[in-house]
Amino acid sequence: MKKNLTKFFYFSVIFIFCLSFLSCTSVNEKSFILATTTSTQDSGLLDYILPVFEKETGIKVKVVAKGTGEALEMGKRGDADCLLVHAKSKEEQFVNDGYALKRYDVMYNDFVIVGPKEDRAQIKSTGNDPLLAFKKIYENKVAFISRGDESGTHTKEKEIWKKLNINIKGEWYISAGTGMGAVLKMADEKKAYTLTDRATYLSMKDKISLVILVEKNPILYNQYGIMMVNPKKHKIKEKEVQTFIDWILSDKTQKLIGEYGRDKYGQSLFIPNAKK
Amino acid sequence: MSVRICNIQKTYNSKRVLDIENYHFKENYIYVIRGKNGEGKSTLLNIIAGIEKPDYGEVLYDFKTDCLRYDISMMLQKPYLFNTTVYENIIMGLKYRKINKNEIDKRLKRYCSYFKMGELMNKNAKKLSGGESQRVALLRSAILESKLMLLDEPTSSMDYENTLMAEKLILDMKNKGSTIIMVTHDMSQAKRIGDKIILLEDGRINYD
Amino acid sequence: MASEILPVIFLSLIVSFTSTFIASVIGISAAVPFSIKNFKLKKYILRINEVLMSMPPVLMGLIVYVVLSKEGSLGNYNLLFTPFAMIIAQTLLVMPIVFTLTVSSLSKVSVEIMKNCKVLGAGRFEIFISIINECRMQILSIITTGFGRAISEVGAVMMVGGNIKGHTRVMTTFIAFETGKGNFREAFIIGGILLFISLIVNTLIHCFKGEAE
Repeated sequence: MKKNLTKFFYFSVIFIFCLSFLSCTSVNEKSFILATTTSTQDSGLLDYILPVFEKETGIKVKVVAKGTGEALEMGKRGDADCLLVHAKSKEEQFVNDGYALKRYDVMYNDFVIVGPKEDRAQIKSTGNDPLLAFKKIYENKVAFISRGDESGTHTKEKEIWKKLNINIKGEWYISAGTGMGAVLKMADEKKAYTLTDRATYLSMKDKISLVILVEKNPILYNQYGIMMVNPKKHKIKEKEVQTFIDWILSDKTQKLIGEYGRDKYGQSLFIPNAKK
Repeated sequence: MSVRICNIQKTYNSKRVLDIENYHFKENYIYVIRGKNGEGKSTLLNIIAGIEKPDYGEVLYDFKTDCLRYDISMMLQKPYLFNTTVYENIIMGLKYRKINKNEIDKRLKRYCSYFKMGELMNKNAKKLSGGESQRVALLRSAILESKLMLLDEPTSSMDYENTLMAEKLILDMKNKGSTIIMVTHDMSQAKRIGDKIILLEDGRINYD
Repeated sequence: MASEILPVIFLSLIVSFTSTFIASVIGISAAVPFSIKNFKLKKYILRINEVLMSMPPVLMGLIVYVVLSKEGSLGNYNLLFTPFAMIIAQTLLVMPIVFTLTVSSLSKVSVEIMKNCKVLGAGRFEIFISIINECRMQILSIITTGFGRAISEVGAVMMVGGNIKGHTRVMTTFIAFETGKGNFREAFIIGGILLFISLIVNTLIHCFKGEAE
């Protein structure tokens, strides 16, 4: 009995070791790394469109979801092949610095300001003016949760504060440093306000009691861009990435993006706007 | 095998436990070392066995500085028995020497007859009493039939009957041609089997 | 649901098994002779390993990330965001644990065993095997401790693996990810499976202990 068990133990160890070796070495398939924002992944968009791409081309897309800041940093170091992010000014800077050759518009969604139903700061009455809404939040010192992770959402939020010339400090302002989903959950727990992209909010709507208070304002426009990391700076999977960029900008894919979320939420989460 | 000790010195915590200028252990003799506790008896055996290094000096085996590790066997003062059956413990050294099964069986028969080992053979060696452990440890050294056998108080926990059998075993080993160096506190035992009795005092060898 | 969770569990097990295996082979092979020999730097090496033992996984993740990154010294091998990277990070995390624990649990007996083996004519390798065999129970539970650290670790694998779906997503990063999205149900299911696995591993160890006695 003892010998059998010992044998079984050794056998299984060796077996698992071999298996792991196999599974690790068999990754020679065509693939590239797409660094993107948490919003595209958390909203489920990528899970919706990527299988189509993989089926059509046989290229596997490895998605690493980080804040826009971290995703750009990954691009700078050459750890990602392709970037799909939403902080236009930073992206343009990225191209100007030579880390990428070209940036393409892909789609947009919009940011919304959400908060508890009671709306203690009365921002609903601002008539969808985000500047006024932020000002009221500041004046009333109601809890506001910031992503605080240099993501596109965070960048947008900082832009608005800057426009208002408000020095954001105080106990009411909570810098979370995590993804959008986690921040929404946190805002829900703390009955706080926050700035979120519509896609993530809609995908989590059933699980939280926050409501949209300010929306549909040009200031809250959220443009996504796609860039290939400069192949002259780093050895990247140029061919695969080019295939992907061509594919995502194609009419068919653009239509697919526009369809995502309609059946579930009754509205598109992302509006495609690739320029031809 | 003869053993010559040349200028061996060993110091523990600034206390000199061994300081032997020159001594020759002749082949095919039984040497019995006596002495008070802490006089370096075990240290001397360990140095001859090669499991401790002297601070200074060297040991010659048959006039050479090195010898085959299979030529020496030793029973330590507090023998460590392996966590397996008594049988496996006894044949451990034979396995190291890659000796075949037939020869192992032959030797087992020959040596286990000294003590009543029958029931003990399949017991776990960790569950033996002090006397039983010493018998196993003595057997696993003797069964190797090595040219030099070092025994550090081999019978200290044995009862009288087993002590006598152990002495018979040691004498038989000598008759087969082994050189035996042993430590004991039992004066009468030393007189019964020792060809030469050595007194170790202040780290030096004095004849009795 | 199952088709999404199964690869995650599978990868978790493979990564943790492999890294524990490598770390154990290296750690134990180094620890056995280390516990016998006495030399000047011994105390310092042990002290360093004790510090490494309580190293925060995220720091280890950061170091491995920087080394494997395209601009790092091993950047040419394209290892970042692969299971290999995760195995490297976990191996480095587990190795000091296995090493330190093995040294401290062997230090009392290994010299004793070594002497007894030597006087029976054992060679170096036979002594090594004997020491491991004599202390197999302690070593087995040390390996389990290492495995526990590997499989429950989230910071390092998140950083160097990137939590890529179907490629480097393991149980712990799955839990962190789903919790972030607010999907507590999925997170709890995987959490339960994680607990169950540690239960199985512990039961196996007890089986071995029982048989050894």
